[in-house]
Amino acid sequence: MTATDTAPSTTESGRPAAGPFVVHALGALALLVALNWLVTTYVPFAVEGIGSSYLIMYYHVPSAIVTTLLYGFVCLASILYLVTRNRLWDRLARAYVAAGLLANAVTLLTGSVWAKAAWNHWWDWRDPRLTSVAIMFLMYLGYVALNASVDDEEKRPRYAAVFGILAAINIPIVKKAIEWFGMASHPQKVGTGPEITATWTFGIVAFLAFYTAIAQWKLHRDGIRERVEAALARVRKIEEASA
Amino acid sequence: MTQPRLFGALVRWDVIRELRRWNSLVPMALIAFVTLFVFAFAVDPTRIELQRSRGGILWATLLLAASVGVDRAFRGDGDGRLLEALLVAPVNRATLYHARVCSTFLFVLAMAAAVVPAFFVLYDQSVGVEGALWIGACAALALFGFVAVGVLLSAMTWSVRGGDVLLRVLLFPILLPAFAAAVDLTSRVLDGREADSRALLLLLAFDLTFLGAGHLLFEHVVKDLGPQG
Repeated sequence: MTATDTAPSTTESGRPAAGPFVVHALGALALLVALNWLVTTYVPFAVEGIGSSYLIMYYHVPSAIVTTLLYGFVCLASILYLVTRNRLWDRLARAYVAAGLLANAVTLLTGSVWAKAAWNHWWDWRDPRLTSVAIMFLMYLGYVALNASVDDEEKRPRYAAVFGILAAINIPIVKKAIEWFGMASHPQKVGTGPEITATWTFGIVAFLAFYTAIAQWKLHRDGIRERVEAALARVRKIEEASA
Repeated sequence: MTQPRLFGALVRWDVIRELRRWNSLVPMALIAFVTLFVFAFAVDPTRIELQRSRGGILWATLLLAASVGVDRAFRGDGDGRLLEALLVAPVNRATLYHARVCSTFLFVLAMAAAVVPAFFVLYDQSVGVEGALWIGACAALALFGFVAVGVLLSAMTWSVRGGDVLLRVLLFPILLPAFAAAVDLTSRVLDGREADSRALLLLLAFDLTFLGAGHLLFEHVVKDLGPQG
C-alpha cells in the first residue's frame, strides 16, 4: 500500500479535505473555553497549603497525562508501521509527535510557573518527575531531528519507527520517577472533592481533543505538502523529457 | 556454522581488527583523559564542593568517551561495504547485533578499566575493595546498557548526514535515567555512604530492555542492506 492509497480524505479537486479537521478544532476550542469557565466559576478558588496557584494544575495535569497518551500512540503507530509498512502509520506517528511536543512544552511551562509559585524557583533538578518529563521532551525533539536528517525516504520511516518505539521506554519512567529516583517534592494530589475531580477529568478530555486537533492539522498539512512535492516531481520529469 | 560459533567468530574478528587499527580504543581513551583534565579546570578538585560532583564527573567522562566507541561500531566500516558484506554472509541479523554489542562493550570496558583508576589518581580519591566492587558492577551494567542501545542507534546514524551529532542527540536523553542511577550509586560509594542495590537492579532492567529492543529492532534498521533487504 502506498502513501497515496492511505492519504486523508480529499476534495473533488484532489486537495486534502479540511472539513473534518475544522470541525475537530472548533469542538476542541469549545471544550477549552468550557474548561476555562469551570476553572473560574465551578472549582474552589484556593486549596489549603498552596492557595490559588493550584488552579494552573487544571492545565498542567491534563497536558501531562495527554502527553504520555500521545507518545504512547506514537509507539503504537511505530510498531504498526514496522509490521504493516503502511505509510499512514508513519505520518500519524510524526503528526502525534508534533502534538505531543506541544503538550509536553505546555506541561513543562505550566509546571515551571507552578514551581515558582510553590517553591520560589522556576526549576528543581531534584524533582524526578519534572526532570523525566524534560528528558522526554528532548527525546522527541531527537525524533524530529532524526526525521529531518535522513534523506532516504525508504530508510526514514523505518528509523523513525525504531526510535519511536525506543523513546517510549521513558513513559513508564515518568510514571515511576518519584518511586525510583527518591525525593517526592512533586505533588501527587492537589485538593479533593467531586468538583475538582470532575473538572480534572473534563480537562483531560478537552486537552485530548485539542492536541489531537493539532495532530490532525499536522497530518492535513503534511498531506498537502506531499501532494505539492509529487506534483513538482511530475513537472520536473516532464521538463526533463521535453528538454 | 551455528549462530553461537558465528557470534564468537564475529567478536574475535572485531577484536583482532581493533588490535590492528586501534580505531576505537585510542580515540575513546584520549577523549576520556582530555575530559578529566577539562573537568579539573572547570571545577577545582581541591575544593570541598567537589565531593558532591565527583560521581557525575566520572560518569560524564565515561559517557562522552563511550559515545565515541559506539559511534565507531559501524562508522569504522568505512563506506558501509563491510556491513553489507556481513549481511550477505549466512549470519542472523540478531547475531550480528549481539556480536557488535559484545565487541563494542569489550572496547568500552577496556577504556573504563584505564580511565577509572586514572580518575582516582588525578582526583585524589580512594575506596576499599567493597567500594571498588560496587563501582565495577555499576560501570559494567551502565556501560552495557549504553552500548546495547548505542549500537542500535549507531546502525541508524552512521550513514546519515550529521550522524555523529545525531547519535548523541538520540542516545544521551534515552540514557539519562540510567546515568542518574549510576551517578547516584557511585557518589554513595565515594562518599562512604551505604550503597543501594536497587540502583543495580534498575541498571539491569535497563540493560535487558535495551538488549531486547535491539534484538527485535536491529533487523528493521539494516533491512535495506544485504540479500534479505
